[in-house]
Amino acid sequence: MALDIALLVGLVLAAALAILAKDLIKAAVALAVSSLLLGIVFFRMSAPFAGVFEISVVAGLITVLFILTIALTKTDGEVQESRTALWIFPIFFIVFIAVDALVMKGLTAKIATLPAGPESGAFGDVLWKQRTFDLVGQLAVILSGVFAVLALFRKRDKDE
Amino acid sequence: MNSHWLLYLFFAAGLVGIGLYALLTMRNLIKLFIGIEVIGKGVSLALLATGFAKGNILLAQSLVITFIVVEVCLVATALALIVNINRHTKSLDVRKLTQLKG
Amino acid sequence: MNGIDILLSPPVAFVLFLAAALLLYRLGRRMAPKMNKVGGKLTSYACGEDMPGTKIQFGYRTFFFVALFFTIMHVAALVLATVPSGKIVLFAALYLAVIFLSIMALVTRD
Repeated sequence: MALDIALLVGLVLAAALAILAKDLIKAAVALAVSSLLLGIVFFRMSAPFAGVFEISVVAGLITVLFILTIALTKTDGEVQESRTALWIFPIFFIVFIAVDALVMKGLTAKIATLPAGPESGAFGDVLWKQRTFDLVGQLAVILSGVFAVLALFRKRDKDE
Repeated sequence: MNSHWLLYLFFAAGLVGIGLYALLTMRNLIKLFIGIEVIGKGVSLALLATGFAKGNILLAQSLVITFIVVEVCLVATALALIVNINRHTKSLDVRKLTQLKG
Repeated sequence: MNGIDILLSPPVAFVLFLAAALLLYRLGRRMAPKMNKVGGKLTSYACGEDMPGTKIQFGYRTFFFVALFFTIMHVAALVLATVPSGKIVLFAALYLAVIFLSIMALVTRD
Protein backbone atom coordinates (compact mmCIF):
# COMPACT_ATOMS: atom_id res chain seq x y z
CA MET A 1 0.00 0.00 0.00
CA ALA A 2 2.86 2.38 0.77
CA LEU A 3 4.25 1.78 -2.72
CA ASP A 4 0.85 2.56 -4.21
CA ILE A 5 0.66 5.85 -2.32
CA ALA A 6 4.20 6.73 -3.41
CA LEU A 7 3.31 6.00 -7.04
CA LEU A 8 0.15 8.11 -6.86
CA VAL A 9 1.99 11.02 -5.24
CA GLY A 10 4.66 10.79 -7.93
CA LEU A 11 1.92 10.74 -10.56
CA VAL A 12 0.35 13.94 -9.26
CA LEU A 13 3.74 15.63 -8.89
CA ALA A 14 4.75 14.70 -12.46
CA ALA A 15 1.42 16.05 -13.74
CA ALA A 16 1.99 19.30 -11.83
CA LEU A 17 5.50 19.52 -13.31
CA ALA A 18 4.04 18.99 -16.79
CA ILE A 19 1.77 21.97 -16.22
CA LEU A 20 4.34 24.25 -14.62
CA ALA A 21 7.50 23.55 -16.65
CA LYS A 22 8.50 26.48 -18.82
CA ASP A 23 10.28 24.39 -21.43
CA LEU A 24 7.70 22.58 -23.54
CA ILE A 25 9.96 19.56 -24.13
CA LYS A 26 10.36 19.16 -20.37
CA ALA A 27 6.59 19.42 -19.99
CA ALA A 28 6.06 16.66 -22.56
CA VAL A 29 8.61 14.41 -20.85
CA ALA A 30 6.98 15.05 -17.46
CA LEU A 31 3.65 14.05 -19.00
CA ALA A 32 5.27 10.84 -20.24
CA VAL A 33 6.67 10.13 -16.77
CA SER A 34 3.25 10.66 -15.22
CA SER A 35 1.62 8.26 -17.63
CA LEU A 36 4.41 5.74 -16.98
CA LEU A 37 3.59 5.93 -13.26
CA LEU A 38 -0.12 5.63 -14.07
CA GLY A 39 0.66 2.51 -16.10
CA ILE A 40 2.52 1.00 -13.14
CA VAL A 41 -0.49 1.78 -10.93
CA PHE A 42 -2.66 -0.05 -13.49
CA PHE A 43 -0.33 -3.04 -13.33
CA ARG A 44 -0.59 -3.07 -9.56
CA MET A 45 -4.39 -3.02 -9.83
CA SER A 46 -4.03 -6.29 -11.77
CA ALA A 47 -5.03 -4.66 -15.06
CA PRO A 48 -2.08 -5.62 -17.28
CA PHE A 49 -3.71 -4.78 -20.62
CA ALA A 50 -4.62 -1.26 -19.59
CA GLY A 51 -1.10 -0.88 -18.19
CA VAL A 52 0.50 -1.98 -21.43
CA PHE A 53 -1.70 0.41 -23.40
CA GLU A 54 -0.96 3.28 -21.05
CA ILE A 55 2.80 2.74 -21.07
CA SER A 56 3.40 1.94 -24.72
CA VAL A 57 0.78 4.13 -26.39
CA VAL A 58 0.35 7.11 -24.09
CA ALA A 59 3.84 7.28 -22.61
CA GLY A 60 5.53 6.35 -25.89
CA LEU A 61 3.67 7.36 -29.00
CA ILE A 62 1.71 10.36 -27.75
CA THR A 63 4.95 11.82 -26.37
CA VAL A 64 6.50 11.39 -29.81
CA LEU A 65 3.56 13.27 -31.34
CA PHE A 66 3.89 16.02 -28.74
CA ILE A 67 7.62 16.46 -29.29
CA LEU A 68 7.08 16.45 -33.06
CA THR A 69 4.51 19.22 -32.70
CA ILE A 70 6.81 21.22 -30.45
CA ALA A 71 9.55 20.91 -33.08
CA LEU A 72 7.12 21.92 -35.84
CA THR A 73 5.88 25.00 -34.04
CA LYS A 74 9.19 26.54 -33.04
CA THR A 75 8.55 30.26 -33.05
CA ASP A 76 10.78 33.18 -32.24
CA GLY A 77 8.71 34.69 -29.47
CA GLU A 78 8.01 32.50 -26.48
CA VAL A 79 4.48 32.66 -25.16
CA GLN A 80 4.58 34.68 -21.99
CA GLU A 81 2.63 32.85 -19.33
CA SER A 82 1.15 35.13 -16.73
CA ARG A 83 3.39 35.30 -13.70
CA THR A 84 0.53 35.17 -11.21
CA ALA A 85 -0.67 31.83 -12.59
CA LEU A 86 2.56 30.19 -11.46
CA TRP A 87 2.52 31.32 -7.87
CA ILE A 88 -1.21 30.95 -7.37
CA PHE A 89 -0.91 27.28 -8.34
CA PRO A 90 0.36 25.95 -4.97
CA ILE A 91 -2.39 27.84 -3.13
CA PHE A 92 -5.04 26.61 -5.55
CA PHE A 93 -3.71 23.09 -5.31
CA ILE A 94 -3.64 22.98 -1.50
CA VAL A 95 -7.16 24.41 -1.32
CA PHE A 96 -8.35 21.92 -3.94
CA ILE A 97 -6.79 18.98 -2.10
CA ALA A 98 -8.32 20.10 1.19
CA VAL A 99 -11.79 20.46 -0.34
CA ASP A 100 -11.26 17.14 -2.09
CA ALA A 101 -10.40 15.40 1.20
CA LEU A 102 -13.41 16.90 2.94
CA VAL A 103 -16.04 16.40 0.26
CA MET A 104 -14.99 13.21 -1.48
CA LYS A 105 -16.33 10.73 1.07
CA GLY A 106 -19.74 12.37 1.28
CA LEU A 107 -20.06 12.62 -2.49
CA THR A 108 -19.10 9.06 -3.26
CA ALA A 109 -21.53 7.75 -0.64
CA LYS A 110 -24.42 9.37 -2.51
CA ILE A 111 -23.52 8.12 -5.98
CA ALA A 112 -25.22 4.89 -6.87
CA THR A 113 -22.78 2.46 -8.39
CA LEU A 114 -23.34 -0.53 -10.57
CA PRO A 115 -24.00 -3.74 -8.69
CA ALA A 116 -20.72 -5.29 -7.77
CA GLY A 117 -20.18 -8.75 -9.06
CA PRO A 118 -17.01 -10.75 -9.43
CA GLU A 119 -16.44 -11.64 -13.04
CA SER A 120 -14.53 -14.46 -14.56
CA GLY A 121 -13.01 -15.34 -17.89
CA ALA A 122 -10.34 -13.86 -20.06
CA PHE A 123 -9.94 -10.19 -20.86
CA GLY A 124 -10.35 -10.76 -24.58
CA ASP A 125 -13.80 -12.24 -24.06
CA VAL A 126 -14.98 -9.18 -22.16
CA LEU A 127 -13.58 -6.70 -24.68
CA TRP A 128 -14.66 -8.52 -27.83
CA LYS A 129 -17.89 -10.20 -26.79
CA GLN A 130 -19.45 -7.88 -24.22
CA ARG A 131 -18.22 -4.56 -25.55
CA THR A 132 -18.40 -5.21 -29.29
CA PHE A 133 -19.96 -1.84 -30.01
CA ASP A 134 -17.06 -0.11 -28.31
CA LEU A 135 -14.86 -1.56 -31.01
CA VAL A 136 -17.15 -0.16 -33.69
CA GLY A 137 -16.79 3.19 -31.95
CA GLN A 138 -13.02 2.81 -31.92
CA LEU A 139 -13.03 2.18 -35.65
CA ALA A 140 -15.20 5.23 -36.28
CA VAL A 141 -12.93 7.41 -34.17
CA ILE A 142 -9.76 6.12 -35.84
CA LEU A 143 -11.18 6.71 -39.32
CA SER A 144 -12.40 10.18 -38.46
CA GLY A 145 -9.07 11.03 -36.83
CA VAL A 146 -7.13 9.96 -39.92
CA PHE A 147 -9.37 11.92 -42.25
CA ALA A 148 -9.28 14.97 -39.98
CA VAL A 149 -5.48 14.95 -40.03
CA LEU A 150 -5.48 14.45 -43.79
CA ALA A 151 -7.86 17.38 -44.21
CA LEU A 152 -5.84 19.61 -41.89
CA PHE A 153 -2.58 18.95 -43.72
CA ARG A 154 -4.12 19.17 -47.17
CA LYS A 155 -1.97 20.81 -49.77
CA ARG A 156 -3.16 24.28 -50.56
CA ASP A 157 -4.02 24.94 -54.18
CA LYS A 158 -3.36 28.62 -54.55
CA ASP A 159 -1.46 30.03 -51.61
CA GLU A 160 1.96 28.61 -50.78
CA MET B 1 -11.41 -2.19 -0.07
CA ASN B 2 -13.58 0.89 0.28
CA SER B 3 -10.84 3.03 1.81
CA HIS B 4 -8.49 2.12 -1.07
CA TRP B 5 -11.14 3.18 -3.52
CA LEU B 6 -11.49 6.57 -1.83
CA LEU B 7 -7.71 6.99 -1.92
CA TYR B 8 -7.54 6.36 -5.65
CA LEU B 9 -10.49 8.67 -6.29
CA PHE B 10 -8.80 11.34 -4.17
CA PHE B 11 -5.71 11.28 -6.36
CA ALA B 12 -7.79 11.12 -9.53
CA ALA B 13 -9.60 14.26 -8.41
CA GLY B 14 -6.22 15.86 -7.79
CA LEU B 15 -5.20 15.13 -11.38
CA VAL B 16 -8.45 16.58 -12.70
CA GLY B 17 -7.88 19.68 -10.55
CA ILE B 18 -4.39 20.19 -11.98
CA GLY B 19 -5.73 19.86 -15.52
CA LEU B 20 -8.56 22.29 -14.87
CA TYR B 21 -6.10 24.80 -13.46
CA ALA B 22 -4.02 24.51 -16.63
CA LEU B 23 -7.08 25.03 -18.79
CA LEU B 24 -8.07 28.12 -16.83
CA THR B 25 -4.74 29.91 -16.64
CA MET B 26 -2.32 28.84 -19.34
CA ARG B 27 -1.87 30.73 -22.60
CA ASN B 28 0.29 28.35 -24.59
CA LEU B 29 -1.86 26.10 -26.78
CA ILE B 30 0.36 23.05 -26.17
CA LYS B 31 0.18 23.65 -22.42
CA LEU B 32 -3.61 23.80 -22.66
CA PHE B 33 -3.61 20.50 -24.44
CA ILE B 34 -1.30 18.97 -21.83
CA GLY B 35 -3.94 20.06 -19.31
CA ILE B 36 -6.59 18.12 -21.23
CA GLU B 37 -4.30 15.07 -21.23
CA VAL B 38 -3.87 15.32 -17.45
CA ILE B 39 -7.65 15.43 -17.02
CA GLY B 40 -7.89 12.32 -19.19
CA LYS B 41 -5.38 10.54 -16.96
CA GLY B 42 -7.44 11.40 -13.90
CA VAL B 43 -10.61 10.09 -15.50
CA SER B 44 -9.04 6.80 -16.54
CA LEU B 45 -7.54 6.36 -13.06
CA ALA B 46 -10.99 6.91 -11.50
CA LEU B 47 -12.58 4.47 -13.96
CA LEU B 48 -10.09 1.70 -13.34
CA ALA B 49 -10.03 2.24 -9.57
CA THR B 50 -13.81 1.91 -9.46
CA GLY B 51 -13.63 -1.31 -11.44
CA PHE B 52 -10.90 -2.56 -9.11
CA ALA B 53 -12.89 -1.78 -5.98
CA LYS B 54 -16.15 -3.27 -7.24
CA GLY B 55 -14.58 -6.42 -8.68
CA ASN B 56 -15.29 -5.53 -12.31
CA ILE B 57 -11.68 -5.04 -13.35
CA LEU B 58 -12.01 -6.64 -16.81
CA LEU B 59 -14.91 -4.42 -17.83
CA ALA B 60 -13.13 -1.33 -16.51
CA GLN B 61 -10.01 -2.37 -18.38
CA SER B 62 -11.83 -2.65 -21.69
CA LEU B 63 -13.42 0.77 -21.14
CA VAL B 64 -10.00 2.27 -20.38
CA ILE B 65 -8.56 0.75 -23.55
CA THR B 66 -11.34 2.25 -25.66
CA PHE B 67 -10.68 5.55 -23.92
CA ILE B 68 -6.98 5.35 -24.79
CA VAL B 69 -7.71 4.64 -28.46
CA VAL B 70 -10.02 7.65 -28.58
CA GLU B 71 -7.38 9.71 -26.78
CA VAL B 72 -4.76 8.85 -29.42
CA CYS B 73 -6.99 10.05 -32.25
CA LEU B 74 -7.89 13.16 -30.27
CA VAL B 75 -4.22 13.96 -29.70
CA ALA B 76 -3.35 13.51 -33.37
CA THR B 77 -6.20 15.75 -34.54
CA ALA B 78 -5.65 18.44 -31.93
CA LEU B 79 -1.91 18.60 -32.54
CA ALA B 80 -2.48 18.90 -36.29
CA LEU B 81 -4.88 21.73 -35.52
CA ILE B 82 -2.25 23.41 -33.33
CA VAL B 83 0.34 23.14 -36.12
CA ASN B 84 -2.10 24.78 -38.52
CA ILE B 85 -2.95 27.57 -36.08
CA ASN B 86 0.74 28.17 -35.57
CA ARG B 87 1.25 28.46 -39.30
CA HIS B 88 -1.46 31.10 -39.54
CA THR B 89 -0.72 33.24 -36.50
CA LYS B 90 3.04 32.53 -36.20
CA SER B 91 2.52 32.05 -32.50
CA LEU B 92 1.22 29.57 -29.96
CA ASP B 93 -0.59 32.18 -27.90
CA VAL B 94 -4.25 31.43 -27.39
CA ARG B 95 -5.01 35.15 -27.08
CA LYS B 96 -3.94 35.69 -30.68
CA LEU B 97 -6.86 33.56 -31.75
CA THR B 98 -9.35 36.24 -30.76
CA GLN B 99 -7.78 38.62 -33.26
CA LEU B 100 -8.24 36.36 -36.26
CA LYS B 101 -10.17 37.85 -39.12
CA GLY B 102 -11.50 36.18 -42.23
CA MET C 1 6.05 -14.35 -8.18
CA ASN C 2 9.72 -15.23 -8.32
CA GLY C 3 12.61 -12.94 -9.14
CA ILE C 4 12.79 -13.40 -12.90
CA ASP C 5 9.07 -12.70 -13.28
CA ILE C 6 9.43 -9.39 -11.50
CA LEU C 7 12.44 -8.54 -13.66
CA LEU C 8 10.55 -9.29 -16.86
CA SER C 9 7.30 -7.55 -15.99
CA PRO C 10 6.77 -4.63 -18.39
CA PRO C 11 7.04 -1.66 -16.03
CA VAL C 12 10.26 -2.94 -14.49
CA ALA C 13 11.67 -3.72 -17.93
CA PHE C 14 10.69 -0.22 -19.09
CA VAL C 15 12.50 1.37 -16.16
CA LEU C 16 15.55 -0.83 -16.76
CA PHE C 17 15.75 0.13 -20.41
CA LEU C 18 15.21 3.78 -19.54
CA ALA C 19 18.15 3.53 -17.13
CA ALA C 20 20.26 1.83 -19.80
CA ALA C 21 19.45 4.58 -22.33
CA LEU C 22 20.30 7.26 -19.77
CA LEU C 23 23.58 5.50 -19.01
CA LEU C 24 24.49 5.37 -22.70
CA TYR C 25 23.62 9.03 -23.08
CA ARG C 26 25.77 10.06 -20.10
CA LEU C 27 28.62 7.85 -21.25
CA GLY C 28 28.52 9.27 -24.77
CA ARG C 29 28.50 12.77 -23.41
CA ARG C 30 31.50 11.99 -21.23
CA MET C 31 33.43 10.53 -24.14
CA ALA C 32 32.54 13.15 -26.73
CA PRO C 33 34.83 16.15 -27.19
CA LYS C 34 33.78 19.21 -25.29
CA MET C 35 31.30 21.39 -27.15
CA ASN C 36 32.11 25.06 -27.40
CA LYS C 37 28.98 27.10 -27.88
CA VAL C 38 30.35 29.90 -30.01
CA GLY C 39 29.76 31.34 -33.44
CA GLY C 40 28.74 29.15 -36.32
CA LYS C 41 28.19 26.05 -34.22
CA LEU C 42 24.92 27.47 -32.97
CA THR C 43 23.58 28.76 -36.29
CA SER C 44 22.53 26.61 -39.19
CA TYR C 45 24.86 26.84 -42.19
CA ALA C 46 23.42 29.38 -44.59
CA CYS C 47 26.34 31.00 -46.47
CA GLY C 48 25.90 34.18 -44.49
CA GLU C 49 22.46 34.77 -45.94
CA ASP C 50 19.30 34.98 -43.88
CA MET C 51 17.31 31.91 -44.74
CA PRO C 52 13.60 32.07 -44.04
CA GLY C 53 12.99 29.38 -41.43
CA THR C 54 9.45 28.58 -42.41
CA LYS C 55 10.31 26.86 -45.66
CA ILE C 56 12.46 24.30 -43.90
CA GLN C 57 9.62 23.39 -41.57
CA PHE C 58 7.39 22.43 -44.47
CA GLY C 59 9.04 19.06 -45.01
CA TYR C 60 8.33 18.02 -41.43
CA ARG C 61 4.72 17.49 -42.42
CA THR C 62 5.55 14.00 -43.63
CA PHE C 63 6.84 13.08 -40.18
CA PHE C 64 3.40 13.74 -38.75
CA PHE C 65 1.87 11.22 -41.12
CA VAL C 66 4.55 8.70 -40.33
CA ALA C 67 4.01 9.19 -36.59
CA LEU C 68 0.25 8.80 -37.00
CA PHE C 69 0.79 5.71 -39.13
CA PHE C 70 2.91 4.06 -36.45
CA THR C 71 0.49 5.07 -33.73
CA ILE C 72 -2.51 3.54 -35.47
CA MET C 73 -0.61 0.37 -36.33
CA HIS C 74 0.55 0.04 -32.73
CA VAL C 75 -2.92 0.55 -31.29
CA ALA C 76 -4.50 -1.85 -33.76
CA ALA C 77 -1.89 -4.51 -33.08
CA LEU C 78 -2.41 -4.22 -29.33
CA VAL C 79 -6.19 -4.40 -29.65
CA LEU C 80 -6.04 -7.32 -32.06
CA ALA C 81 -3.65 -9.17 -29.77
CA THR C 82 -6.54 -9.79 -27.37
CA VAL C 83 -8.92 -11.46 -29.82
CA PRO C 84 -10.48 -14.57 -28.29
CA SER C 85 -11.22 -17.64 -30.33
CA GLY C 86 -14.66 -18.27 -31.75
CA LYS C 87 -16.96 -16.55 -34.18
CA ILE C 88 -15.79 -13.13 -33.06
CA VAL C 89 -12.71 -13.61 -35.24
CA LEU C 90 -14.84 -12.51 -38.20
CA PHE C 91 -15.49 -9.22 -36.49
CA ALA C 92 -11.77 -8.94 -35.80
CA ALA C 93 -11.19 -9.35 -39.53
CA LEU C 94 -13.60 -6.47 -40.13
CA TYR C 95 -11.69 -4.40 -37.59
CA LEU C 96 -8.47 -5.19 -39.40
CA ALA C 97 -10.05 -4.25 -42.74
CA VAL C 98 -11.14 -0.83 -41.50
CA ILE C 99 -7.70 -0.23 -39.98
CA PHE C 100 -6.24 -1.19 -43.36
CA LEU C 101 -8.55 1.34 -45.01
CA SER C 102 -7.41 4.16 -42.74
CA ILE C 103 -3.76 3.21 -43.16
CA MET C 104 -4.21 3.22 -46.93
CA ALA C 105 -5.84 6.65 -46.72
CA LEU C 106 -2.75 7.86 -44.87
CA VAL C 107 -0.27 6.26 -47.22
CA THR C 108 -1.87 7.16 -50.53
CA ARG C 109 -2.59 10.81 -49.79
CA ASP C 110 -2.04 13.08 -52.72
